[in-house]
Amino acid sequence: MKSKLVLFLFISFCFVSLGFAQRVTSKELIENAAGYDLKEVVYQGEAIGEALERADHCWVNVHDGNAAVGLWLSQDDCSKINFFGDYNTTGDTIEIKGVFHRSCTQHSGELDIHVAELRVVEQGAKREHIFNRKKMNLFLVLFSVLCLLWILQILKLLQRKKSLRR
Amino acid sequence: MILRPQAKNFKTIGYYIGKILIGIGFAELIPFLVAIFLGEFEPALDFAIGASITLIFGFIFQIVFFTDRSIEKIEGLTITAISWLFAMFLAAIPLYLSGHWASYLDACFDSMSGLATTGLALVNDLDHLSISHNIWRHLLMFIGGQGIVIVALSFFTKGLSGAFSMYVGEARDEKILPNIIHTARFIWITSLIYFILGSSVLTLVGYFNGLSFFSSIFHGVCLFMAAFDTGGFTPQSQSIIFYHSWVFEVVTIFIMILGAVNFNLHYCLWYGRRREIFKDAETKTFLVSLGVLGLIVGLGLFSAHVYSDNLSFLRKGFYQLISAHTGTGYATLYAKQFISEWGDVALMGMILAMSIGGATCSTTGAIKLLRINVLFKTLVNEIKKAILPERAVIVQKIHHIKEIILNDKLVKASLLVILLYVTLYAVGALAGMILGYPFLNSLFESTSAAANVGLSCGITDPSMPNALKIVYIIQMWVGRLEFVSIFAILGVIIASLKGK
Repeated sequence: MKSKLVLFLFISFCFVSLGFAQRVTSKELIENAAGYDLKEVVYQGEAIGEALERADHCWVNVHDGNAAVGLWLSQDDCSKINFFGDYNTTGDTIEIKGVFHRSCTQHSGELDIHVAELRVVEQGAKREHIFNRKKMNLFLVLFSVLCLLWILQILKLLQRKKSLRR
Repeated sequence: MILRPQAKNFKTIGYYIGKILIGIGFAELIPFLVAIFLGEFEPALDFAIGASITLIFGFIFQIVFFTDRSIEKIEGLTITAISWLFAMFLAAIPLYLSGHWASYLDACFDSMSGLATTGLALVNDLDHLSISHNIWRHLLMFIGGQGIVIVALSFFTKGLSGAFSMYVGEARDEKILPNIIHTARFIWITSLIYFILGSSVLTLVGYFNGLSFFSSIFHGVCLFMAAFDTGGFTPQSQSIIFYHSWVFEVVTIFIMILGAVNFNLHYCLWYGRRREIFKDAETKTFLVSLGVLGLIVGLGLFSAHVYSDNLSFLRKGFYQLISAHTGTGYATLYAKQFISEWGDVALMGMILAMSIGGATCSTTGAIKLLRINVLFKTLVNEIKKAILPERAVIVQKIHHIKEIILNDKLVKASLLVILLYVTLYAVGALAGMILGYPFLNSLFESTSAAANVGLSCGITDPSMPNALKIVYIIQMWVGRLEFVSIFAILGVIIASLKGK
């Protein structure tokens, strides 16, 4: 019974895998763009910057750790993304399925993916910036030295002015 | 007989370097204030530390080397060359403290790239870099593009003779106004007015292309500083691809060309002498070279079947060509695509465009249009000499702001600089090949670094060998200063060793 179940799962997995699009990275897409042109791909990464709206669609740039690729998606899909990565935020990690274009004719030559399906794999969040006390101490020491030098500089200039007057 | 430099010469050099460092230290207060305003307290601390160290160095130099001598020519040139190195090391401090650069060398690389308006970058995770650090990267381009020393000339310097040698040391051998301080101030005022206009236009374009109000201001300011100074840094890792907008591309093309124009022509434009722009030899050379190189790149892309429609060709081929020719380095395609898709012919067209650059007395690097014009006029002269009778007197003129007779002195100076640039490109390419990169990739990246362009075919990366990073830093420095100041340093070193 157990071996039959394993066999069933294995066959199901193979069957489902065949129907799935190819999982790719930005490196593969950029370096072998011709090979993936017009193929359905699965791509995953962090949404960065912000959504750039265009009528009923929008552009979202998604970074997978190597480079960011532009995604062309509907407003409905776009609204699923809540966080976009920047200094204060870690963006949502999204997984998309769509058609890759090496030089998209609709977007006058852009390298992009037209998204058919989108799901948020991991919600983004606000990034915490821990205040570095060592840096603060270093600054205080440097600032003290700077003030001392500034005073020395002023004294030197005053001394110079006095000697010129004489 | 070579005269050994005396203590007074070193004192003058040290004193004025101190002045320039104080200027850079105060410039660091701009991103510091931005960081405080935006609540980026950690980055604010990076700038507070960076500014303090820079000002400390500045004051130490001023106190130790105190002098009231005015600057001599060789001192002025040496001050310029050494100041640029100090500026690189000190401007890199806040970058390194941010934690986005893998090593201090990488931060120095980006700092020199910014100051020399190159645009090659080794920053990690740029998309999560703070706004204030991004402002500093772009401000470096703005300061470096106008000239670090011009800041000092505009605000601190009194001695006119030395001031001119410092000005020349930053690769600007043409005065716009009779007084060099007034020339420096004109360059700054012009740049600031263009800054207000250009940033406003880019802000509007950004806003209507989907950026939020605050982001559109931030991107508008950063993009203008890098485009007008033909730098090439962008706030996002994808360069201009991030915006997915042809309007952005059109506006940045316009600003890039504006940055590549001679400040003398800006002066003519401001005072209503518009015809001068079309009469000038550099404008004509730019149009001809753009046409010829456009044909080469176009044929390359066409034969490699890279783009299927004309609009794609324009947005990719023409944009990259303008970016290369003006020495900016903005890109609407990924670095690796140059090698994987463009083909050798188009790449050669791009390398030639990068190697020529923009106008003299502009913010671009490279050989410059005027020297290319002189080269071709000389070639035509030689052909004429061969055809015409021996007694015939040939007088060749160039219209550059005024009529200039093409004499041997001008020809010799131009050809020497061309030769030096070609050598610089070749040395960098050789270094790349020794370190294991293919010939064309090495030549592309080397030309981009030495001509202060910033386009990359993928070699420039935090994982590239440290030796190559150092080679590119030297290329960016030498290329930006156009050799004269570098020779001055060599002259001072030789005179110190062999002089009497």
